[in-house]
Amino acid sequence: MSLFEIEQLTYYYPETSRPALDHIDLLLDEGELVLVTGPSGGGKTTLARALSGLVPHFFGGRIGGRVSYRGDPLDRLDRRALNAQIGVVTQDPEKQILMTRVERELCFGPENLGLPPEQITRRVMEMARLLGLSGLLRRRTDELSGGMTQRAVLGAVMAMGARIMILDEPTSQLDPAAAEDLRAFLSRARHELGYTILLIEQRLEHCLPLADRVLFVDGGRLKFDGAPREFRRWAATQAPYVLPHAPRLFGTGSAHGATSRAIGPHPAPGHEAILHPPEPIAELSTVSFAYGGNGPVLKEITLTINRGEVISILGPNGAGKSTLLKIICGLLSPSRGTVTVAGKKPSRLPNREKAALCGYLSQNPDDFLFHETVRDEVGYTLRNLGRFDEDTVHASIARWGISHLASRNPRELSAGERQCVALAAATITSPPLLLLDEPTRGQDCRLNEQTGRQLTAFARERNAAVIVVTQDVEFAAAWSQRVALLVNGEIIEDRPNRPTPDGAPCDRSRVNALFRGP
Amino acid sequence: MNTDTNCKTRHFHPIAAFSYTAALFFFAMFWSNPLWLILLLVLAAACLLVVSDWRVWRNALALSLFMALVICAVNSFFAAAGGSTLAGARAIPIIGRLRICPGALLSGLSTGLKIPLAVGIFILCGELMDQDEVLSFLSRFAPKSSLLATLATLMIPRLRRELERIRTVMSMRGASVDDRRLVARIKASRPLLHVLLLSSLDGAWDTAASLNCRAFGSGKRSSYGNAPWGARDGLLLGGALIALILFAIGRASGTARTPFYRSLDPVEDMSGIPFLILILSIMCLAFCLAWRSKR
Repeated sequence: MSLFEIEQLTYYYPETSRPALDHIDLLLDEGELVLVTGPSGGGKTTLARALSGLVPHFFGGRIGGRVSYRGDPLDRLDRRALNAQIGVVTQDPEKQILMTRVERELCFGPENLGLPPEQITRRVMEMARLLGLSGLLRRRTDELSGGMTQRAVLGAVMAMGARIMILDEPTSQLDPAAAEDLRAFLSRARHELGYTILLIEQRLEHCLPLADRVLFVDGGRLKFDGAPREFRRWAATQAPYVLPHAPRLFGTGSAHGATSRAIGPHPAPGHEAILHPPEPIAELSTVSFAYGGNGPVLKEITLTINRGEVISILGPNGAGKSTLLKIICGLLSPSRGTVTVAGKKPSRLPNREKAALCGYLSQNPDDFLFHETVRDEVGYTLRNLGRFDEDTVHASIARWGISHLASRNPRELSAGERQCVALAAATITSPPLLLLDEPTRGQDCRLNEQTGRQLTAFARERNAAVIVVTQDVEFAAAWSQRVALLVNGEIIEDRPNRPTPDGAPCDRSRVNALFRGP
Repeated sequence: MNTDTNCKTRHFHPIAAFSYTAALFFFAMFWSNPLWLILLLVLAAACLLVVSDWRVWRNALALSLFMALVICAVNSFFAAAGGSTLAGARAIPIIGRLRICPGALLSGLSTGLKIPLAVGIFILCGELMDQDEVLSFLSRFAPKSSLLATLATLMIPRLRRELERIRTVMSMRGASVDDRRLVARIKASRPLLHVLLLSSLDGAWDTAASLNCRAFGSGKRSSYGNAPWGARDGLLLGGALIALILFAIGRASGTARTPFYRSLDPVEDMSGIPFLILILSIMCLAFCLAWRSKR
């Protein structure tokens, strides 16, 4: 008997006319690691919610078809029994934390199940040991790093006794080292501990080798269900954008006429040489910065950003990348040194002039969104600057491929689509300097590539500079002309992103090693 | 040294810590002689310095001392009680002639001192207990209220971070969030609060889903008691109870009195002083125990 049996599952969220899941048929067996992928907004999360009993029980809406768990209809199962067997972890670990300390977080679920204290103690200790949290049990949850917070959430779910884990993009908010650690743990949980894992991911480069089986969900429909090897062949023709670069090569092979572009994003449009002499737009001279009475976050940074270039700033969490962006756009004043953008000191400018000079995208696109429609949202900055023009708004929306969403409420869109709205809003004034903090977070490969292409075009067409702070080494390698490494507040390397003998535009293994720290 | 270990050793069981601070609060409210109140204030400050950081109390102390000063001043000027006059002023229409009397000054001082003392005791109460253990302890009796308090504890710093992020974004979208004109700033704050509200609602939805997945509200809960009762907790609770009993005995026998108004009694009647010193010495237990743990 299969663990899950899904027959003709169709689901509509409340007040929607388009199904989020459309006639899905699926069997899931025990002990598998199933990778669920597909474009942003395709129905992956809804499928996970259906398997965990959250739809329609928690989210409401209309459902058709049948979902069975070990032969019994899921909706007839007692919630407590269901929660004890199926654990759910979503992409934002911070929003799943419910307790103030790690130990309390781990025991909260078992307490809710009414387990005896000695059993809870045993489970807390087991999970702490398994997930490397033993030394952190007394630590406050809001003091943990992203990776450790995600582990604490995972431990909290596993401590309930769940043998089936549903993980919805668990690595999307983590730095490469933490993401790698989490994937290694999942592999161990599957092979050594016998967990059944349903892993939703948009970026497959590291996940495909872990999977026993791949599901591809798009438009609410299950378009592919099979082994990873078959998926590579299928996706090479049906959805090449989802494949990481190496599988694109091996999946298509010469028989399928793989093009050099399909092998990888190199040489990407961004790598074309800038023919005209460099014209600086932003200059930082021995800039240092510290918050309050704390130690320095940035130390003696000297950096020149030229018009027409896309520069990526890479570095581990807490290296000072976001602070550097805030210093450049004038939101923070340097403790020492000077910053000039187009000859002006941005920290001394009023907000309107700052907005005209620098476009800024924060890590969370939701920080932008409060209007009723995408159109109004994108036009907001122009209104503030007294330069509102309907045509400019439409052009910006079209540039980011979201014209079909112009009348939709931005808060109702998928994470990737929201990111596009935020990017459209950040670039609407055509600023000479664009500062982006993790622009590819939550994006699928297609949107990722679109973002890279648009940023390169933006830099070239508007003769603007784009600074991208990212932990996405692949993105930086594919779309930047320069890569700077920021570690402990210092730029330890700043060099052109030229292909190395192995074809990689920057040394990814070295960059990945940096994220892991000393 | 591991700060987590420090936290564990300096904290007391919620019952012991609450009983001790309740006794301290009782004395602070019951005693009215400024000398005894100052001693209690010194004791509370010493305990706070041992169990926590001076900065925890700094802002609250400054504010409460300012309020105490205001009370002292108002009382001195407007309650012209007492036979002797320290200073006088011309008559003011309606109010009449202003007189500063020692009785009114001391009465104001006594009332004013109770403010920083009460604030200090509340802060001490929080510092003597581990917040998480308190919530865990309370969750046995009121799981929903305890969860609400926990989520609120997590939410406040989270909201502050979110607000800062949104302010950054809005600044870079040309909103006048830092304008010197109040009206412009209020107008520009509207979208800021709008985003914050929407994000909070989204966050609430995620939190609710997480609670659902962790089986909250699915039936009877159990409790993972991780606040062990130690000898020091027993000592603290016992000390607080003994101090209260001694005080009750003293009151009944007429020795533990701390009157002052119109005559600073301790100077004239010394019989109650050893009794009160005994009570204060017992109340020093928290300081001694916390000091020992710290060492």
